[in-house]
Amino acid sequence: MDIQIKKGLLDVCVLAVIQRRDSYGYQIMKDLSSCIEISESTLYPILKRLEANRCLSTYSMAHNGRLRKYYRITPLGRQRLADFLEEWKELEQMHDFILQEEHESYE
Amino acid sequence: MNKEQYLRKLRSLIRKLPKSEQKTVIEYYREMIDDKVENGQTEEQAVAELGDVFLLAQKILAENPNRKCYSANRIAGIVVASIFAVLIIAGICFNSLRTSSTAAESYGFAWNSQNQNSGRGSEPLETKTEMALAAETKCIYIDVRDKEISVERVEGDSICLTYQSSKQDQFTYTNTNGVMKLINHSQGGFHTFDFFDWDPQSRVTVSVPESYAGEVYLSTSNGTISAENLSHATVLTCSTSNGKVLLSDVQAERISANNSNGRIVFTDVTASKVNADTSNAEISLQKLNAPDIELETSNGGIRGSIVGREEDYTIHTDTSNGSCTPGSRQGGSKRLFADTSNASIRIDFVD
Repeated sequence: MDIQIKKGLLDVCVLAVIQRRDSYGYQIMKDLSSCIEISESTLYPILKRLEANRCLSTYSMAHNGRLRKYYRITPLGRQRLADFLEEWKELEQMHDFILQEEHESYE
Repeated sequence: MNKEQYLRKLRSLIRKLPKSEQKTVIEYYREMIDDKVENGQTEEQAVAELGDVFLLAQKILAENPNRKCYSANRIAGIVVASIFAVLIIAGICFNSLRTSSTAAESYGFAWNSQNQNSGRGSEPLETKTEMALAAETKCIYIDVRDKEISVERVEGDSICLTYQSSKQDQFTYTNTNGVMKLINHSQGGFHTFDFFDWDPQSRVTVSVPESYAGEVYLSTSNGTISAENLSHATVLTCSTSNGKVLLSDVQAERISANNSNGRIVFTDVTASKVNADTSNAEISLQKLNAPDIELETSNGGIRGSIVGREEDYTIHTDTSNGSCTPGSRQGGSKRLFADTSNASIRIDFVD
């Protein structure tokens, strides 16, 4: 798959996971693994980017005598998710159109 | 390696990043390891899953935008910066001519400092860039001494070689008949960095667009060769000593790595023929995918994973002092040859 498309999709997948509940690095990886296996080093820049774009906010919470960094989705992040789903409909229309053209060219 | 060792090494490898970013990175990986341990893994397992610390550091550095400056449309910026650098260096040279030389200069020591304008008698470095269209290039040929070579993916359609040259460390670059050739045989001199702090300032960066479908020949000494995200090259040859060969996410028809006194690490490497040869160091594989594999070392283990089924391979594994898994077997159409001494071989087959 085109690397740019994949990058964009991963961002949205991470947002979707965090939308359900506030989450932390390891848990996000685990939740994503039912859809796609990504490594720690792949997740890090995604979280960093989403935070920089203000789609996510972060806070730390004590856990077992250490601090864990939690990520929370922001209104902007929710908007980004909604936009993606909206755009997807357009993509589907384009996809159908391509299929149809392809089909007709064979006839 | 335990958690603290791993994180300490990682920190030392990313010390070029801003302090705040270093801290965020280390905290992120520390938390990951802690959470994995809490979920039942041992510290060693958790650390091992993060992969080779050098590869991780490279990935982190590559993601830092300050270090990415090789895309074609930034060359104008580099040129402007170079002009300024040249003016500054000219100023320094003029100054140091007027004052007496330092001892280091008169003995011809090569201080390799990144700080071009520190003006403490250090040898001025000049960053040079050579470019060619990928579509018009058949071979990238780099033959240097005492340098790191790193190959990385770049957007666009141009191949870009970036290196630092100085009076005592000069390069020859030619481009004829589609062969980009960069050669440097630095004069003997006394290189302080060899002994004290191996700082990869002295580096040749080869930026290759995805579309490049020719040969890559890399040769150096006392330096690491790394290549990442290379997908259409036909032949990739890496040759070094006292460094490492690190290939990650590389596909080529034929890959060969020769090293001495240094590790060879293949991560997600795919080829029709792979050949790795070192001494006094380990060869490690992670998801190596090739029908014809030859691995040879001495005094170092061979371990890791190969994509495929064991029964598809005719296997020859041999060591003089250690165990071999898998053992030798006949009958597969693919070939695996692994040979070491005074160490063990442990190769797993994975999907």
